[in-house]
Amino acid sequence: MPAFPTTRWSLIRASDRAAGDVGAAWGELVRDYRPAIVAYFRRGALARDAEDLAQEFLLRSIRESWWSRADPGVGGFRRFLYALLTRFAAQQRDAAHRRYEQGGADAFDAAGDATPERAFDLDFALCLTRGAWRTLGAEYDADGRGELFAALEPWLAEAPAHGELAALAARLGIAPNTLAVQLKRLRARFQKAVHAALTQLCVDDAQADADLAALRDALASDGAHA
Amino acid sequence: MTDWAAAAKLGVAAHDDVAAQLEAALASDDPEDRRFDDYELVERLGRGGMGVVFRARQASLARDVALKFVVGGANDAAAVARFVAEARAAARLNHPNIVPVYEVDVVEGLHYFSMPMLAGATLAQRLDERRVERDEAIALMVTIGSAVDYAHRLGLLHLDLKPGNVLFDERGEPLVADFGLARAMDADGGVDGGDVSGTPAYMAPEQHDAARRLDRRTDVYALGAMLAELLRGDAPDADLDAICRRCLEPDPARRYASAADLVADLARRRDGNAVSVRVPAWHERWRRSVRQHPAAAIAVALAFAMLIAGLAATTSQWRRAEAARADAARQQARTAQLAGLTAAAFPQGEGTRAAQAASAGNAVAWLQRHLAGDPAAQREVLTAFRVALAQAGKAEAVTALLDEIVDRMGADYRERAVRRLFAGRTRDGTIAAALVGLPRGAGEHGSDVYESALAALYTSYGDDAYALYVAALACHVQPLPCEHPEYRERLVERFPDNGAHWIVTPRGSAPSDDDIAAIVRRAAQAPAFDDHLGESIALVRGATRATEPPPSLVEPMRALVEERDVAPSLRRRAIDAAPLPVYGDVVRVCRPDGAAIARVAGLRDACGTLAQTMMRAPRASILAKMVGSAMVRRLYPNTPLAAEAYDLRRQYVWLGERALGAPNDAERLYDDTIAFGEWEAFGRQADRRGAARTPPAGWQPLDARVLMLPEERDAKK
Repeated sequence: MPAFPTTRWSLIRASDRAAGDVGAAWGELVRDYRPAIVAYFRRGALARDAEDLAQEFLLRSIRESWWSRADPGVGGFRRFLYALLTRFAAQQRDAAHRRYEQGGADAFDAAGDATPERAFDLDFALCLTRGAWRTLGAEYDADGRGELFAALEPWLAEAPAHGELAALAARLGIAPNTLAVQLKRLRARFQKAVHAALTQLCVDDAQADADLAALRDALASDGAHA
Repeated sequence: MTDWAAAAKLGVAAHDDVAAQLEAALASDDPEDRRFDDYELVERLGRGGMGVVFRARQASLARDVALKFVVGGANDAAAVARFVAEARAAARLNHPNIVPVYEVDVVEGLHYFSMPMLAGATLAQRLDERRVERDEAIALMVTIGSAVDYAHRLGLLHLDLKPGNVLFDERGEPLVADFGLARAMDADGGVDGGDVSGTPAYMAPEQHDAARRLDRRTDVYALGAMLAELLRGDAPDADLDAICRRCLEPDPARRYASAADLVADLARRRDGNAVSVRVPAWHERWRRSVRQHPAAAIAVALAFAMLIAGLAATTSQWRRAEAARADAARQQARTAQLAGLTAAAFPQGEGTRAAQAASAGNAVAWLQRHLAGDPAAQREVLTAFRVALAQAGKAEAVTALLDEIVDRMGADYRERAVRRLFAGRTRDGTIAAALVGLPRGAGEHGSDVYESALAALYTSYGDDAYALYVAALACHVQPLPCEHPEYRERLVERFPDNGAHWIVTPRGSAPSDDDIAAIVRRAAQAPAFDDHLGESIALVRGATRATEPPPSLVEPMRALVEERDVAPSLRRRAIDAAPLPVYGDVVRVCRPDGAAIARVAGLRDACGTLAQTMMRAPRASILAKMVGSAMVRRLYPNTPLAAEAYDLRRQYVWLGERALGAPNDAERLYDDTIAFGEWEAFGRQADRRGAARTPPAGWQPLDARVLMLPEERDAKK
């Protein structure tokens, strides 16, 4: 049994679910991570068709129930999705080869330095953190602290310039050092939310930690990407 | 706009420790920084595997509380979910010796629960400071064990019981803490092992093995480890050692099945009674001579009836409201609470057996009246009551309750058995019908079959000493006057050589002191004394084996004993109820300071002779021997005879504490009593258990008062 009842990934991995439920869950999940799928194709051999390929991948994965290959041994969503992409891309390359041999256009113009895997990880991390941020915003709203959340958002990952926080504190009517503490707490909670979101896409803590390390690597080696 | 790459880097960075975050807030000078919702953190109190605890000020209620935050990463989402569910369950606990959980909530993404700040030290700290006296240790463990039993009954296992988790409030009352991290039992009354962690010194073997199931016996182990620690450095104590060993058995099946059972044994030890693991249920025949306090008994019985009424009402309402489960849980708690009040009102201790019997009798009569024909409902109420009694350390009282159930609810069953026994008109059947059919309640008439059985013994077995004795004895002990002096007359005419035969005068014949003095003088001439207990046990035991008890009796009994113990309990009660002569009149006229001795020539010597015969007769019941011993001690104080009598009493107490063992030993004791008499049976039981038959020089019983004569006991008070 999954430890928490119905994350989409645990739903997909549970073999006894009705196919309709699972298909819907899969569709939502891959759409949430579409940017990572596009990024993968953009860094690959078929970069010019990246958007189209992503769309085709999405549709076929849903139509052909690719999630059903997510047997209990398969592990987390990130690796599973990556494995599907690799296989799909290989099939596309074979098809392109055949077109080339039949006199088609040059399909092998590699794009950029980043490997498809790294690009995929980068955008996967962005999808993940944006999702976690939205969840956190909803929590603040529920606590009646939506205004604080919105006000602090610009400084989530950036040190405020001198006087900026003081001005904001004055506007919100709270003490400046209190606002500083609130910002610290916001960051801590954001981290927690990201970890929670990733954990929900993994089978266990060890795998979540491994995924986290991989995402950290990808982000560290490509600071310019945004 | 947010730099999402930077935000993502922050998001996937190794996250800050929750505890560190809280510590940072604590370091701030601004109270606002230390504020979490309604709370202001004051200081950190401690940190454990799953949580970190702060002292905090709750602004709205202006009180200090302990706030426990769950630490560990968001990776522990499942653990957090479990924490919240179980802290909520713990918040349901409402017990004076459990640290309550005020609130379970999440503030700014941090899960926490709040508890009262307790002024006193923990038990661990107290143990560091000083040794805990033995009596204090027992009292502590009775309280703690009762609290744990309460939690068990509400479906929670603690799994980390240790002195560090027992706190004292300002009154010095111990409270069990950390139920916020307890585990809820599943339908099978246990939890799977695995990620449960504990404190090694107090962890049961099964807690070290993730594959094994944990249940209430896991907590029993920890309670035993605590008891052992409290007693460390104390002089060895056989009872307490046995109790500890039973708790610390590596195999859960060999431990106490529940904390309640442990508490019951500790309470027995505290009250100077035999404990079940060493010396179980020695049926104290002395209760017949215990003086009654009618006013107290009636007052208690009244309070008791009112409480029981509330209890049963709650229970039946609860059944009607079964649809709403939350409601059921509340009703269950209410039932337990009422049962607790009822149990608290239940008399207990030395000299209260009559009051106990009266209270128990009242309760059972009430159940019969108000839940008539509904044995299942009776069982439900009785179950709640049994649990509450155990919790109040009055598990012994269960026996009184059980006896009343058997006596009152078993009346029809007994009547059927009597008819069947008498139907064959055999000697043994007729005697058994008389013994089993003997009316028991005050003012109760014997049935026609019972009267016919007595008459048949007189007419058809007039040459049979025991048959005739049973007729006379029944006539002697029945609650209402007996119209048949001829039973005893023929008995002493044909079998005058047994002193016991002279004593069984018919009930209601109101003999004067001079009459009794004459009886004593006559009985003293008899060379033997045998009150035929062995023969009676043999016949009653056979009779109870022959008839299956009906559900109307079995159901309520099942509330108090296991299924397999129903038949033995019925047998025990029947055998306990096997009649013996009433020696009160004889004891009274033989008092050396009494009027009769002063007036009647030769009575003093007759008393002395009879008393010595009783004390020394090999087949006399222990009751007869003890009566003889007491009479000798009064008549010949400070003589070798008195010393012999005192030694006999001492030996009896010794044998009682040493000799009586596990419940199945009762059957062997009955066998031996039938074959050799009750005294020799006790001796043989001691032999089997490897104990000496006589106490070593200098040995004293747990409660030295049991060696005293009643008047010496009173003087001592």
